[in-house]
Amino acid sequence: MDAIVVDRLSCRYQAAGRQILKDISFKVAPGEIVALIGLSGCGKSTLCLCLGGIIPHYLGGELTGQVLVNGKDTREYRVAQLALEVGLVFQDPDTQLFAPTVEDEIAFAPENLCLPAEEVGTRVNKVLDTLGISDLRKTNPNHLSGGQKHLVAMGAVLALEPSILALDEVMAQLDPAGKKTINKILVDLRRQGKTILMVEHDPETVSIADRVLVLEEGRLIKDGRAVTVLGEWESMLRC
Amino acid sequence: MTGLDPRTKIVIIICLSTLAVFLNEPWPLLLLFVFTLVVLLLMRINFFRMAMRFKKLLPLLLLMLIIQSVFTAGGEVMFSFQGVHILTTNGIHSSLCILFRLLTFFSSAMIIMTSNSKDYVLALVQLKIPYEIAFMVLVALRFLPVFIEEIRDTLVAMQLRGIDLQRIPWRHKIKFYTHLFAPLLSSVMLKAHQLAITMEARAFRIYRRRTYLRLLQYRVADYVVMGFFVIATIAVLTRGFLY
Repeated sequence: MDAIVVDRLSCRYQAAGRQILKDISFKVAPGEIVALIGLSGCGKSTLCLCLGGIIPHYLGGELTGQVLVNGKDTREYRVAQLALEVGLVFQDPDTQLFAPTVEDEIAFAPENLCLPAEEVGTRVNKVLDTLGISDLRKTNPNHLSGGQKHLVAMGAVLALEPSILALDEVMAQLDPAGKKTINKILVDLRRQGKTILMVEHDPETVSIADRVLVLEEGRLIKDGRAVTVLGEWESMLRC
Repeated sequence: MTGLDPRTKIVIIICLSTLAVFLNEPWPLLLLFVFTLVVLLLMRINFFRMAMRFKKLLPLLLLMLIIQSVFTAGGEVMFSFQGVHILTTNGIHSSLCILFRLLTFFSSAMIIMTSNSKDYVLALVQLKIPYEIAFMVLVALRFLPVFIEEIRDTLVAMQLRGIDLQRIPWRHKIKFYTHLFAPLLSSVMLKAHQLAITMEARAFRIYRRRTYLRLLQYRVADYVVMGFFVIATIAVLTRGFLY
């Protein structure tokens, strides 16, 4: 079974508004890293919101076509239920971190699942080890650097143990060292069997992707191997 | 006293505030304020930082003192202007009561800062408050400094466009602050929206209840301190200190 199936997806935020996504179809196999690139405003973030069920459940909007995550139709499940399948990480870490310590931030999601305290503790330790941030356990997230904040936001989602990760421009505000760290972690996560959809507008940050999808004005214009698609897209931008 | 359970701290704040509300004489209120400062000292609260915070409230306190003094009738007239009694002994009595009462409120509220916000969530949940409401408190505590920073940034942005806040007259200043309100409200709404999405995307409210990595536990010191404050409050309120 494919991890993500997007079938003829079209979406707009208001009935009379502009169509953000136009008849998009693609599939992502389990364990694949797929990069979604395109210029600002082309619908990349909207697609992420559709994967997590935020559209249509939370933001409303008009959605046609189908989005399946691990075989579950996003229209038929609540956002909180879909969170067990798809971990969404957004661009701005400041609006995603609200707990007083990194440990509390990461424990928040498994606590919601009513897991016993020991299991919550185990998950927190595992995530901290995976991301290499065990030393930040008792630190206030407000006092972290941008890269560290992104890692904590990612960790907070990983604690739910979703099999799919959708990262919405998490590397946009990072320096090259920060991007390198996150890319290394993503490769490790793939080794653990996670499926990753990374949304970026900078082609250089998606070198680890197996496949690249290019969105332009809401349409999927390219879908292919990273080396081929990135080369074509860059020459297209130069024109 | 720094290691007390947050629930004990909530009880201390309730006791101090209750006494501040019911005491009606300057001397007992001054004593209560001094006692509150001693409690803060035992909780190792930074007095300098506290004083800095109070400094910002000084104009408000002064305004309240003047209003109380002018509008409280009776007593011996100490100063009058064209037949209007500006300063009376009753006015001074009343404004001193207000001053010490407010100082006690503000100081006792500082006790909140001695535990982290997650501890208060746990305290509220263990006091049987629904966890959704407890998390609203956590989010409010977390985002309060962000909003203050937002106000500061908007003010700086406006000043960079040539508005000198120190020089413009008060009536224009008020108009200026109304302009500040619109971007602030929009930013607050946006942040609240993003945060709500983040919480939902982390399975918040997937079930009616949730578990916690750690829970709070009362120690002997908590029972002793709570007992002392509750008994002392009841004793003070019932032994004729109410004038």
